[in-house]
Amino acid sequence: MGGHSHHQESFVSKYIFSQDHKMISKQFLMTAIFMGILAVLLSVFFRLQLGWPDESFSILETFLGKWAPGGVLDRNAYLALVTIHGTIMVFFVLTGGLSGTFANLLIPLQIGARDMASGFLNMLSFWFFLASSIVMVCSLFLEGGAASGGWTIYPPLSALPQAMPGSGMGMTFWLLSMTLFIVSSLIGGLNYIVTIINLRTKGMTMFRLPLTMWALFVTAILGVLSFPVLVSAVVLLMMDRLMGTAFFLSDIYIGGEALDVTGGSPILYQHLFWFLGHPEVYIVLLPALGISSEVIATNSRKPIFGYKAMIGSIIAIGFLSFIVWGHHMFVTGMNPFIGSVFVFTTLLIAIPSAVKAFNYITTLWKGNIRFTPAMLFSIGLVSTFVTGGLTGIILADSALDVAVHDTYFVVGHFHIVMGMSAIFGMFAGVYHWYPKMFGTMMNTKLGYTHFWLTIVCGYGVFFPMHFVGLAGSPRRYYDESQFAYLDGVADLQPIISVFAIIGSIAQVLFLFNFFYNIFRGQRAPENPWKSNTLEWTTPVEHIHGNWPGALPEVHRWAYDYSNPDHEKDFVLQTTPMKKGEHAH
Amino acid sequence: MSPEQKAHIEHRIHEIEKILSSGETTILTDGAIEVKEDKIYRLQRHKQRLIELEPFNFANDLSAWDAGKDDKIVKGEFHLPVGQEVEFVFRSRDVIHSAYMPHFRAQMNTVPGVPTRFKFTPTITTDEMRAQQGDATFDYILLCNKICGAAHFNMAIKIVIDTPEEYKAWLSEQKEYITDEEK
Repeated sequence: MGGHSHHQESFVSKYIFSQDHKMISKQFLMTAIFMGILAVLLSVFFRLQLGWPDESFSILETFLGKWAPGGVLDRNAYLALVTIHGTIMVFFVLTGGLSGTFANLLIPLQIGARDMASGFLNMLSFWFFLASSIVMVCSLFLEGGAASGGWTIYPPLSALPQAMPGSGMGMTFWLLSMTLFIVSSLIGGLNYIVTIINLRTKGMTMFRLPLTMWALFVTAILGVLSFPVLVSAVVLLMMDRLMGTAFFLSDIYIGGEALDVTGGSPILYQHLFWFLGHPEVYIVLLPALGISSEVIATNSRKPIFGYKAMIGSIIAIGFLSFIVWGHHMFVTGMNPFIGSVFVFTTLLIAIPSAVKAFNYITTLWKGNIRFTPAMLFSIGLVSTFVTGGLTGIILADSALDVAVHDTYFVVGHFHIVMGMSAIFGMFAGVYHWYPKMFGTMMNTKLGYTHFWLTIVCGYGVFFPMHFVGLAGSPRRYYDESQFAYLDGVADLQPIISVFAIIGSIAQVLFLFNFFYNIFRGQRAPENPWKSNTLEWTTPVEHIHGNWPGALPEVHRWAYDYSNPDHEKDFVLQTTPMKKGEHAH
Repeated sequence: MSPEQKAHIEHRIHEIEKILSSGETTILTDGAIEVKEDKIYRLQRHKQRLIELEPFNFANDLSAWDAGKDDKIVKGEFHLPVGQEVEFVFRSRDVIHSAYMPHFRAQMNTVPGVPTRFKFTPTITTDEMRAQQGDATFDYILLCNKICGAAHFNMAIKIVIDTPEEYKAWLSEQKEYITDEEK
């Protein structure tokens, strides 16, 4: 395949129907950035409503037209906004975007492979992703509005087209989009697994893999095992909607009229959904943790602390994520004994999570830290992972969860622990591997400004939500201001909205930095961060097959930083072991 | 529930069904059909409730039938007696809602086709709480906490915690769910 490197390519085969993993990675990233901008914009719209429910905003009418007559957001449109915001962020930005970008970019480069096991399937994975993104975006322009049952689309609300405007065509589009998305995710995931198992270069044993590889490997396994369950839920829901079955429906009266459905259970859907839904949290989070492991070790100039413990905790988190889904359903009438089992398994996750958090801190400890923007975002991730994780312990307890379930406390919790952490991991990855992706450097000062605005605004948005939630504010309410018992926290809503707006505007810094430097950035050196891993031994200009000559041979693990046996403070994985030198 | 009671309810249902199905001999308006169907629905629910009450050990002077007799229809607010354990049995007729009572740290989803339960004991009456808070307008509240449609955000009902005497007085004023005619 090395011979391919110089042949002439047309624009279409190079930039559009590319089978090169590096180009596909950029395609994923660009799509995710577009979807991310959209989802942030939607959140600003509903934050305007939540912060100042009595005001009207002409900007809403400009963007939303008939959904905000006179600048006042329509109630159905509000629900559609929160639904599509959640869906896009969870699936399109933090699953497709994060895994798609970094698995594609890094897997062949870090294991020393010419490309993915199947370049064609890889391309197909992107095109299914793009198709599902297009369907999801189109659903916003439907007559009845987009899906609006919350991103978890619980039936019967989602199963009955007559239940609300968003349950009509919008929901059908949502289900179609999600089916395409899952196909993309499965094709991609299988490809990642096969590539990591089969295409490692000589000497690259499993225990010499960088932690990013382990994280992406376990992530892909989680996806392949859990997404099919969501497909089954989606298909059953489609049948309930279109073919008159009653998998999730029973004893329903609409407008006094009994529907001809008996015997189904809406709870069954929740089991199927959360059987994906909880592993999904870790599908979102693990790649971010893997990226931050790499960035933190490189920029602390120290070996990652507890390499094998980190691998063990990734695997443990992956395994445990399959047996905790019930903690999303404590108040569905679940038998309290089963609830207590889920409490136990959920609390177990605190152990591997704590291992990871402590290993980050011990890696940083007495390190020779370089605060690159990627490093700041990784440290930010450690912070949000701990902050959000602590409230997770509260929510894991079924007795405590009863009081705060479906309140802003939950919204604050998961936005910090999986939203902010995962997006910080994604930013860290982009800042760190940008030179590898585009061959140019990003501006560091803009990166710093972006980081500080993002973390301050992120906490500014989601931290107060814990207090709002503890006071008893239900989530997904169009207007929180009408209940007297919430007067004490009423002032927090506009504050949250202000932070949300500033934080959203701050992302323009990133976008400018990102797009401007693709064309005008300073040319990157081959190994700008003085890192050990194989991707930094490839030429700056992308070529097919990654390495011009033979594939590199690996002689050591990925974290030989500040090794006293060597002059430089980093030792490439391709450096042969010296005589008498001990492996880690 | 005694077999006689069950037979009685089933007989009532059967009678109404007979009227409904004899379209050729009796001509009913749409409104009348609706009323009769609603009656069947209520009788079936009542039967279901009596079956569910069976495991409860009522005092001898209180038959299961009488226990069902205090079924009330309430709107706008509902009252509970202080210091007495209350068990909620939730049902839903359309989509999933959630009965969220933030002051009691209590919450349970209401699921169509799947009755759910929750118990707690109110310990402070509304009046005592008003005095404690120094807020004469304080009210306990029950709100919907599962997305259920465009009006989700204002689906709420007031809860009033009464002394046992007040509660009894309030209860006797409420409309019964099963009217004498239905029995």
